Amino acid sequence: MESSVHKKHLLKSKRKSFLKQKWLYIMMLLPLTSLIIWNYIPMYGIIIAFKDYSPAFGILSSPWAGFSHFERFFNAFYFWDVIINTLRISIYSLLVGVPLPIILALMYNELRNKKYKSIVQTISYIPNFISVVIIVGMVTFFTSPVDGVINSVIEYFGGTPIDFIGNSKLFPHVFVWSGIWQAVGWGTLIYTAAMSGIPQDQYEAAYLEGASRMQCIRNITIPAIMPTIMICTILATGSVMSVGFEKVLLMQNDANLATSEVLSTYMYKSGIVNAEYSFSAAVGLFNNLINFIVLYVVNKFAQKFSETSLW
Amino acid sequence: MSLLLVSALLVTACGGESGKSKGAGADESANTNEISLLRPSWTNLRPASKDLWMWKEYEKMSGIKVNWEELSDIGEKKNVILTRSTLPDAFYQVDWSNGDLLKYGQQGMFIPLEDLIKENAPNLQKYLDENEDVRKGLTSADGHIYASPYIDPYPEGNRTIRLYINKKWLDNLGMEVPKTTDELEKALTAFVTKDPNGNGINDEQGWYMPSGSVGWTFEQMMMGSFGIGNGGRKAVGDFIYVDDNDEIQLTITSDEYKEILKYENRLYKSGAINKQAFSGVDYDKWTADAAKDTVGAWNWAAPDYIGESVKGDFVAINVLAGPNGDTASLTSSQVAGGSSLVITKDAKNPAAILKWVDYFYSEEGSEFGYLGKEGVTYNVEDGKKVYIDDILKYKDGIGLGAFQYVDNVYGGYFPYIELSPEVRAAAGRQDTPVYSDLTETTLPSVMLPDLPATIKEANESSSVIADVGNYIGQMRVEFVQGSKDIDKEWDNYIAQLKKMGSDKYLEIKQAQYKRYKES
Amino acid sequence: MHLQLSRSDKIFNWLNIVLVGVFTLIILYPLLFVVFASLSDPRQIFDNILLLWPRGFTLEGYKRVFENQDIWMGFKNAIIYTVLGTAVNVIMTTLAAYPLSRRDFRGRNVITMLFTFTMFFSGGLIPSYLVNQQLGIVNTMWVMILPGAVSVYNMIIMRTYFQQNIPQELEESAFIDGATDMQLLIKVVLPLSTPIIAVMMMFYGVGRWNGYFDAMIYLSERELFPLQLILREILVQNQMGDAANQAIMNSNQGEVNALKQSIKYAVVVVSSVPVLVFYPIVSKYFEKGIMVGAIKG
Repeated sequence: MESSVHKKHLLKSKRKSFLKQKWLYIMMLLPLTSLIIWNYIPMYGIIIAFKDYSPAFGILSSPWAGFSHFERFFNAFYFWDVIINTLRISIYSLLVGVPLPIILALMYNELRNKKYKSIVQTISYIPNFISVVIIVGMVTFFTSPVDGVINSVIEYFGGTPIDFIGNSKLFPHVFVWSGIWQAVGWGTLIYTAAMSGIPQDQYEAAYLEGASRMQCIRNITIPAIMPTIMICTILATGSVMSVGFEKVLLMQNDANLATSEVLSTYMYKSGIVNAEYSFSAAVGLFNNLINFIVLYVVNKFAQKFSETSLW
Repeated sequence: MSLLLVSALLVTACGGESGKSKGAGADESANTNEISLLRPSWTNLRPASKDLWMWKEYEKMSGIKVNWEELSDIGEKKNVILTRSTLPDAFYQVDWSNGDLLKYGQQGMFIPLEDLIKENAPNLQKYLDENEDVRKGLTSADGHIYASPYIDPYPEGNRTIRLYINKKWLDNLGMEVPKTTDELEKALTAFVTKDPNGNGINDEQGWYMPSGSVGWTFEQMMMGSFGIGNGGRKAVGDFIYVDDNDEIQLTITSDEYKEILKYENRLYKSGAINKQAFSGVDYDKWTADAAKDTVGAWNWAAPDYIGESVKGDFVAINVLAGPNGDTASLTSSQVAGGSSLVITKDAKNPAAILKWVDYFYSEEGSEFGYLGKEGVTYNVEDGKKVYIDDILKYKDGIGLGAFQYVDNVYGGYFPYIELSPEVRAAAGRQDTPVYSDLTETTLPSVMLPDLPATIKEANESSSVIADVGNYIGQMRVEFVQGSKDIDKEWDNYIAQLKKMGSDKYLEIKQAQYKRYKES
Repeated sequence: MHLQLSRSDKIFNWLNIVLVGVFTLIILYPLLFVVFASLSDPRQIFDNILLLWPRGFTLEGYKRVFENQDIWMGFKNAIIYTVLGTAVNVIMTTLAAYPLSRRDFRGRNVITMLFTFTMFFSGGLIPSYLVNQQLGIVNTMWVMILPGAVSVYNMIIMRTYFQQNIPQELEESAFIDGATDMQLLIKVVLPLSTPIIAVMMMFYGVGRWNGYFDAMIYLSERELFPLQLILREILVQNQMGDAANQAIMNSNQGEVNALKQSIKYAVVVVSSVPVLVFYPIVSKYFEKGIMVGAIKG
């Protein structure tokens, strides 16, 4: 009896708070609609991975294939090589690609000359706009052991030229660092925005107390952007199985194949003979499942050990 | 609540759609004199098909109006296009594997053409009757023909990959054009040691092409010299050849292939094959180097790939006699494209499409597709048909000049029979290359097309072939560069290939060949 | 900075300036390479290990780019798609991010999960195509603007910014004044959030500008092509995979390659110009953010 009254009361307060928040729900309406139309309605297409899809029958009427596409993938000769290569490159990218933009953004933030700051920032964003074909062409030329600029420097200092792009041991480095070159400047943007939200008077107060610049960075700037750092890191771990397809394919050659064959390129090659849509879908689903699990686990940790998490 | 909104949105959106029907033009061609063709777009190089001189002219000649739909990146879009509620009447110049043709044919997306060809395409039928290999190559594993082909009857044309060697350098060194693999080795070694370009700098390369080419150009050509090239370029690309007992064998597990690797290893060590053969040189860099007179030899079907300024320095070698005197050129089947025109289930008048396309399988039609019309796109000079000045003097070259008027000069896969190299060269007022070393005896005795596969075979072999391709690519680098010893590692290499299913693959190919011969 | 700098801070300052300078030079050289290459004879680009000035100076590449009608048309389309698409993106993302940033918003975790889920699982190309076909937007400009209105990644970034930078007292006092959530968002939250809005504009704008995949799949009419699709024809086609996949040898391949070589660098330079113009405008909002922050504190 008592509890039902309590429930009623709760229900009432729920409804009340719903009404109170009606504007928030109205706001969500458009984004949610878009999400349903373009993300959730097509979601039934996931079953393609469990079917022998043919456009002649359509998605729903194509014959079921069970887990045969997954089995084929798991039993593939290069399965483990491909998984390891993918993880090697993406974890390496994460380890370098997550902290570097933060450091660079902190350095930009400490620049006092506005003009200088604006110029260096603008320059650092530009590589993001260069087509990957051109990037790979430049990497190939600059790292050439015969007439590349990098090897000329190495030779000048008495080293022996290194075939960067034709060596499977070096491929991950070349791939990751050329990616850093292209993306690091762009990656600072989020942090720059987060830093510009920090009230200036906090710094002024710290200076008056005699804090050094390094102390200000450590005690004011970094704590202020910590939630952003956390969120960006969590989100980045959710792509641990994904390595950009086009660039790898363009940089790949038989001499570096031992480390450059990743999930996406492998899928592309083994599906190319017959348009194997279902097989690709199965590999893609597996890929994303792993990504999702990793993100979920990382987020769980974040919930436990910090105040910031995705949900 | 939002679900309601969604359905409302859907309704209004669909209402909006019925008002406009653009693109495919499927309903526009209700008239039987209209057909809709979907094809790759070349509009970055020439006018759209509807504005191209040739197609406007052919519309008048045939009385059939074509609604062209031109798409770039067709490879990526194929699957999506097939989901359309109404397909175009036919796919033109789109590359379908024979596995695709069979699958979609059996599922009723593509219609069988053999009877329609008999009734409506006398020129094509005549060619099929007279050339059994073409008919066999086009016939799917279920006995139907689902596509009309691009045919190139001339092995001296683009079907053969040749070795181009720097004649100027040979002359400077007082050397003859090599006829054997040994002589080639001597010539290339001399190239990199004796300063044949005479600039005093050791900047000469021997065999040199963009990285990654060696495996599918030079090495495949060597297969003919070492006795495993019979079967032609398609076969060699599928890692198979036809042995003396008319049986299919694998190239990559043969002792002859081991010898080829040793030969390449020797050339690589002496610098006669460019050190960057496997990585580091792209096409731009290669042509820039070539323009500085540093390239000794390379492979392609025609010399102009290396760039206008130096292409004249090179002469072609079609065959080199190997250690046992074997010769076989790297030539592919005359079925140059097996899926040039594919008619779909939604075609209202398939007969009209075949009648329309059949013209291009006649001599007159071939000339029309490549040369155009006398007085309009070409004139007759000394009995030879030569393009008009507008084409000959086109800023980006004669080939692209012709492409502004006629269609069948770039891109391949047109449903059509290719003209002879003499006629094509004459059209650009150029001399026909004469190949004394490309004869009946030096051509492979069999030049296989893509062997028709059943759906099961296609599924089984596609993953094997991807793995094997990766593995031999990697091993080639190691063997040729010398980081792995060929003799010591050979057994291990064979064992790995077996693990990937090379035996199963060979069985499939043998079965396919047997079926092919009997069809 | 009106405060007197200590010695160590001065060293810090200079070190920072120098390090940033070195880093910028490393970034800059390859960019200059592209610019110089665009002004050079393609055959002379690789003549020396460093391209420090155009070699075989020529404006041929730019001439061809400016003569190319497709490129201009692509430019026009890309600007339309970018401007409208970005507007849709930023509005929708704000509408989603703000409620989700409110810790008192009921259903917040569920909805966030719903959004996040779509980062990883999608039905793939074919069902998406069918949906757009049903909506009747295939091969129209709308397919370049409406789908993908909310990038979950960006939405979460924005949400985090709101949570971090909008003081709760401000919201509470607005409520006491009788403001609705919508009024709160427009009058209080947004003016305090210009930096993140600027970032969102950059992220979405650049994504729209650089994107080609949707255009490739959904557009068949050339008049609708955005610039990147035109660029792809020049740069990428026949580059993916090796030439061995091209079963047919084209005897005119040399001419086509030469044509592409002559314009590829110029085309990259021209397509990057809008960004150079765009950034300085947007960066002003970063400065504004700082000022508002100072007042607010």
